[in-house]
Amino acid sequence: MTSALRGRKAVLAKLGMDAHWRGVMVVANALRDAGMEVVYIGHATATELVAAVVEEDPALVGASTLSGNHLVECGHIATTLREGGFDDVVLVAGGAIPPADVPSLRAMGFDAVFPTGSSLQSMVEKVNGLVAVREALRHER
Amino acid sequence: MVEATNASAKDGPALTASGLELPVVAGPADVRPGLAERLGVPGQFPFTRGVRPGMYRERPWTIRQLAGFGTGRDTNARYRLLLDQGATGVNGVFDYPSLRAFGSDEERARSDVGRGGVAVDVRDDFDDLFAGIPLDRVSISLVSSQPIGAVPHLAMFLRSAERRGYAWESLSGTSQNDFLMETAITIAPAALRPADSFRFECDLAEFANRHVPRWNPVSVTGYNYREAGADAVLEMALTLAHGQAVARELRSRDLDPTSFLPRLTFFLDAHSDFFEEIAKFRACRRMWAHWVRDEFGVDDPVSQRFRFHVQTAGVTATARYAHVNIARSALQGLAAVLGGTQSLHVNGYDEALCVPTEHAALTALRTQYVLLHESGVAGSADPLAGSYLVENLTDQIEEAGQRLIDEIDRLGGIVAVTDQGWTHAELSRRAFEYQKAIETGERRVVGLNLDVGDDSEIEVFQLPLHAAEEQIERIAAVRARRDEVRAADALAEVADACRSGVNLMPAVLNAVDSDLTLGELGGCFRDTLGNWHFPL
Repeated sequence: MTSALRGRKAVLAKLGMDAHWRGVMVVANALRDAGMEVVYIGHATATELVAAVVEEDPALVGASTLSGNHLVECGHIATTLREGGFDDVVLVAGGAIPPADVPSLRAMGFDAVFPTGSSLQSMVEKVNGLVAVREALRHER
Repeated sequence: MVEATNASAKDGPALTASGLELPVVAGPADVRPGLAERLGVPGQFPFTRGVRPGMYRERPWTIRQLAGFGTGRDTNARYRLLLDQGATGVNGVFDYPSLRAFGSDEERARSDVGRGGVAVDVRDDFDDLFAGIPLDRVSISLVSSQPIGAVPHLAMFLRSAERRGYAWESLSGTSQNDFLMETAITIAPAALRPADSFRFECDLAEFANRHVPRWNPVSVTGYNYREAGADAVLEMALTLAHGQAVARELRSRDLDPTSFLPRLTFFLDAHSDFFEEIAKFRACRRMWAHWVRDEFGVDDPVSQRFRFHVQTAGVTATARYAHVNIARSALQGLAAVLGGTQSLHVNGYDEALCVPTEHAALTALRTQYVLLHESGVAGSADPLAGSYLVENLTDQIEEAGQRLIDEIDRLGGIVAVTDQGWTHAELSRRAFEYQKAIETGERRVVGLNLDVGDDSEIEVFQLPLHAAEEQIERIAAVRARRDEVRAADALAEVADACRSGVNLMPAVLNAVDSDLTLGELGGCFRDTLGNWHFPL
């Protein structure tokens, strides 16, 4: 069921100065269980995240924050990735994100947002679908 | 729709949340012989039944609601609201950059200024933060979790209090000051090595012991260990092992144990498994008293007391059905009180979503009044003593906790195991198991895997967004007024103190007098001592 993720890379990062690592590590474990190679880069500015994308060529980029800085930091990330031409990377965010902010993040270019209470299973299924679609588009080109 | 039963009463879950054996019915055979000695009486060794003879009739727990956001002025208004409404202590949390001694004007910090706590950059911020609050009558808990921030925060607080005419001897309060918070429990773009962070922690403790006698210089934050992924047993083991490491270090600095032990305090989580949590609180007291007596040979009862603050478990709050968190917090707060806590914070129902709104904060405060004034549970000390189940669980968790403490000691102690990544791995593994248990339905949670119907949205706290701009202006103003030569000398003195290993506090106090900012001090600490990469 999660075949699109097997053998593919995910880059996970924390935003700003958010201090919580529990969620991102739990997600890293779940993605590893789904067959992904997970590269956790710790805290990253938008520029540092792009450098990691160049270095690792991931299928998935995940941004984690629970501090409330998501609108600012996710905005920087989406803009910087777009300007760098990295539009075939699946970009997702997760953490303490009020449901009311989800549409804003989607509009910035985040393919999916996983607020507090999201299940690992639904998350893995969702990113699997997104990566599969992105792969299909890549092959067409 | 909701299934009618979780596990049926007949089958009963066989284990508690942290893996203790849970008898379907507990009886006399489930309690080991020698209970009377293990219990004692409240206020006496081994303190299983509480740290005071009359417990809450003698002194109610302190109602200490956590607050902090925006600037010093924003947070001061929330403190005063809570004090006006009957809170009896201040519990001030700092924002992410301030905890880590980053400046509000740094690129990485800007989007987190005033988030999750109050922004402080210079001594003047402490003037604003505590304006109008009588520092000799209201005890102040500084949730300066990370020693790299706690050292300069206390220096700024002391200088600010002095300016208002308070002698250091008159100040009572707590610095959270926990090296595990800096190196294992929370993360940041840069951190000190565990050994360096532990030294900061103990420098502060040593200084306070000598000069600020009513100050609790360390609050070992088991709460946060739990929130990061520990179960009750690991929470207890890390907490006690850490407390023991601090006590050993302070004794090695030629301080009298009977002067510093009474000032070591602890901070624990009240999680969902009601009886297991009560057992944990009781067992911690007993284990600490035994350890103080057996290793330190101290018979002074005041030195043997394990005093603690409790917060209800933020990690158990759900975003869906946020109002149900009121019920969760009330049950968890009840466990804390039945376990004999000295002070309590009850979480706001919006914990999973945001910093508490005024409505959520006041509802939490009023929940404490229900516990204290309506429920009757404060009338008699340690009311569950003698319960077959609670005594059985207390003994079980004591044994399980001691096994883990012994393992930590065997691996080289709490500082070494953290440096090696053992602490992170233990937390991470348990956090993943906890989440998997929710996903498989083994652990049932309303709003996550039990009753997940439609929800109504609640009002979410809107953070005032002026904090970063105001703090940046304030930093610039302080830099404009100060003597740059004096500031540079003071910073060089701090760097020397970092390298030479003398107590850091005098140099940091001098730096505060020279108007150095928190971010400049943090930068100096990190540049001088080097950055440590989290083993995650």
